[in-house]
Amino acid sequence: MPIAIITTIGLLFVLLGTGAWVSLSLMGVGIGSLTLFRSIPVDKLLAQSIWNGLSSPELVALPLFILMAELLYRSRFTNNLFASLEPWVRNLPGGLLHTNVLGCTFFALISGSSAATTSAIGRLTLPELEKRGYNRAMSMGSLAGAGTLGFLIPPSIIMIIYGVLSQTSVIKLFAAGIIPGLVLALMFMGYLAIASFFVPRTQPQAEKRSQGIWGERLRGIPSLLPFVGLMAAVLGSMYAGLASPSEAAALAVGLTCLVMLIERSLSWKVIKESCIGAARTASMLGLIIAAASFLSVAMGFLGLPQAVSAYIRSMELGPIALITLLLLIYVLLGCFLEGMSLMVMTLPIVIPLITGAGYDKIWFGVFLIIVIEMAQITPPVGINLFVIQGLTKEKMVRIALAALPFFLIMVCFVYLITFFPQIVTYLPGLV
Amino acid sequence: ATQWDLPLAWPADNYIVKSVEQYAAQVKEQTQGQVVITTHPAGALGFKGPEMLSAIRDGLVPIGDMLLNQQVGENLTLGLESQPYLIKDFEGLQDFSKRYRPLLDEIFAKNNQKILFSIPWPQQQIFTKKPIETIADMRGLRIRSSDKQSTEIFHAAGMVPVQLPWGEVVPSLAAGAIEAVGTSSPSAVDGSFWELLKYAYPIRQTWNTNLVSVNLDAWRSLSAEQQATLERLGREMEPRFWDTARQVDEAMIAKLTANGMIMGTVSDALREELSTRTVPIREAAIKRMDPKARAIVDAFEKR
Amino acid sequence: MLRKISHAIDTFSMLLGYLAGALLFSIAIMQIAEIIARNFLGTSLPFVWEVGAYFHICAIFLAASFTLRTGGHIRVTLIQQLSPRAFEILSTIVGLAISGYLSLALVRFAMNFAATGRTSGTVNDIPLVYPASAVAFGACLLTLQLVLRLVQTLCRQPEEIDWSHQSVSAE
Ligand code: NA
Ligand code: NA
Repeated sequence: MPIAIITTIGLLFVLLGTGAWVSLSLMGVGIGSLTLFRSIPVDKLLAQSIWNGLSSPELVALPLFILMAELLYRSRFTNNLFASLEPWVRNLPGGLLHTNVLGCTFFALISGSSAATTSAIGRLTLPELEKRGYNRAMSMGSLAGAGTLGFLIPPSIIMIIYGVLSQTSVIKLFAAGIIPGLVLALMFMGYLAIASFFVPRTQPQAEKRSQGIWGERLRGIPSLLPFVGLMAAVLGSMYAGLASPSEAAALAVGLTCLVMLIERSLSWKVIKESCIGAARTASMLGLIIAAASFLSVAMGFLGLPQAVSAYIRSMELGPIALITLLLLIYVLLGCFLEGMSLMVMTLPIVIPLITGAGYDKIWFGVFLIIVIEMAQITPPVGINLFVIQGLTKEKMVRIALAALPFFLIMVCFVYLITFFPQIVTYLPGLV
Repeated sequence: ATQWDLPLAWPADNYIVKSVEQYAAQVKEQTQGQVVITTHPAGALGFKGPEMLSAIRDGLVPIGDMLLNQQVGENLTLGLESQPYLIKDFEGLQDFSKRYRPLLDEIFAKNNQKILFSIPWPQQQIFTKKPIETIADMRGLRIRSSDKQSTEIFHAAGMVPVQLPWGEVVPSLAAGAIEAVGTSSPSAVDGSFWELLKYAYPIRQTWNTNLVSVNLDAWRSLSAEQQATLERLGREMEPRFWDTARQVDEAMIAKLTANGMIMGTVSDALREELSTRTVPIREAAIKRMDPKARAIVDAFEKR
Repeated sequence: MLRKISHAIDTFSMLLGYLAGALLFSIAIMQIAEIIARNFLGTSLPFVWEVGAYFHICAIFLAASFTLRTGGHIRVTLIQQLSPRAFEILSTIVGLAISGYLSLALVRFAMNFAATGRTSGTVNDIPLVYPASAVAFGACLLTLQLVLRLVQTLCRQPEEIDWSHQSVSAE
């Protein structure tokens, strides 16, 4: 049904082009194309899809981590976090920009969501990096890229859903994500280090103080402790079986409140402001997730997945060519759809294709997670880009351009794991 | 030609999906391509299950597949087969299903749809880390439970039923947040339970059936001949689907055993104890259903 | 007149925003209670997951209007610079139309739950009309806020307010 698909894409560009809100535009596209091409009660389908898309219990961790981020931002102990981290990364090319990657990597250990990771770390790092004169594009881009690690490093909500839909072991998937997550983080840091020679800071580096760098490093440790302790407690509760990965988010909120209570930075006003701030972000993201899930349902009704899969099958590609084509298709679809819907919509038809080509389902899961991460940072619909826009009020185009190098790194990474699948399959083989 | 989309909540290689696909293929062949049913497994059309009765009724989809006891929010009587210890075994389910169908046809007609065929789920088991022989072994066991009836039954047996989304089950088992899961063998294989659990007990506390039904407006748009073909195929293929369900259970149990799981047995005494404890739950539930449900149960128990 | 109406709606939107925030905070409290109950009290609170999911969806919609008024919903303003005012009017009309449709769909959805008495069918058996009504109500308020925005644009009043300095309740 090529006419339906062309119309859908055309409608998408027209509605987004008017500058209408992304969530409403995506709903409008689904409403428009279903009304034109299918005779179903569109209003009922819209309401049901939104309801199903959002009333999912797995999604609840997202607003809770956002709430935690709002609280952390208003806490006292995160104020000194940067000052204490600075001596540790001062001599690295790229300096404090690495805090984005390192921060996201650590936060990804407790958060299963990429938007939550981006929001939590960005809330802390972006203002500080700005204050210290780091290049804005580099700050935003590295945050956008590294934020996506939330999905790849376990626990990961999207991996859990992949495991359920594809009938693969969630434990093996979690194990499979660890090395790729770390390698990708290193690649991001490598890029930051190299790029820092070409994009200097606008402000000169602070002068070294007399007592030497190790003195500074050690003096900073006490202010790092509450944050490290908080992370360790949440992580520990998960691995000790006290809390499930989704419940960890609630525990993170509770423990953050506790730490803030101890350091006396938790007031009624702080709670109120954090809650309404979290509600704003949750509302923005939730409406986009709902709209994107309705749009993917609409595309399913228009027969897009079947058409694409029939087309791919007819080409009879080799394994590498198949992966390249799938990468291309996922990047294109990922421009418009949100990660979860992207996966649910395509999996039933893609799984037979890739197992037919001899790929392992665990390996493909990691491939898919990376591709979905890429979709988080491609315009016009990129959840991480939206989170960063919410934080910085920067223009969408600027943020997307800032994220582009990191997107390209991820493309390279996809080929890295295609030619060296051991990066993915080594750890799950040991489980 | 008539094009119908059929959503299913189950993964693409689940036997229910496979069975429905066989039906769709037969329909296409025997109507000479005039009625084409496209299956959308794994929730690809965004439907999750509990809304299927209303989705078909309201014409969101012309045809669909639903787990009957997930529809109790719409109509309590649809939970009848899942009442605790009402049905002993697979043969009992076959017998009960025949008596139950006329009432189901009536309820589905009121909901603007028509049942084409049913596919049962295998027996319910509990999968545990530690062995269970007596009711005392069940005390305090943190067990994941999915539906209302099982939750109440586990509670009555002294266990601690924990509500978790299916996706959270394996990570929670791995970490020890829960120690047992109540489900059937295909789901146990899907979740690779042998990685984390050791024993399986067929406690058969409830039974579940899936139905495929068609919206009556969509049905009326078919020719009389096409209607007859679809009805006949449903009737003819249904027994085969039931056999498949039983064979799948055996195959899945074999797979669990091959991976090192120990298949335990539930002693008559334990089953009796569980059954006795859950009588009030069953009675209270049936009281709230269509009066015809009581008659069906009475006739079934007297058989 | 416009200012008074606008102020009333803004205040109400903000209150719902706070309510949404409180719902999110309650999810955390409920889940912590469940963690404690399960690990230390030998019991489990069967409503936590389900009610948490409903609180989340309600919070998303109840905060939608406040989020719009404070510029929190995302839009792509690539070609809007060509003629900011014309595009502002156009995008608000487009948004209003879609939001109106959405509100109607969600109101009918909730009314259908009320009419059929549909419950969640879980062990908690929650009548779905309650969460669905809150969702529909939030969507209607979003539509109302968009109407207001159109009027504000036409009257050349500021469309968005800064929330972080509590300017809604100032005045
Ligand atoms: Na993670
Ligand atoms: Na994207």
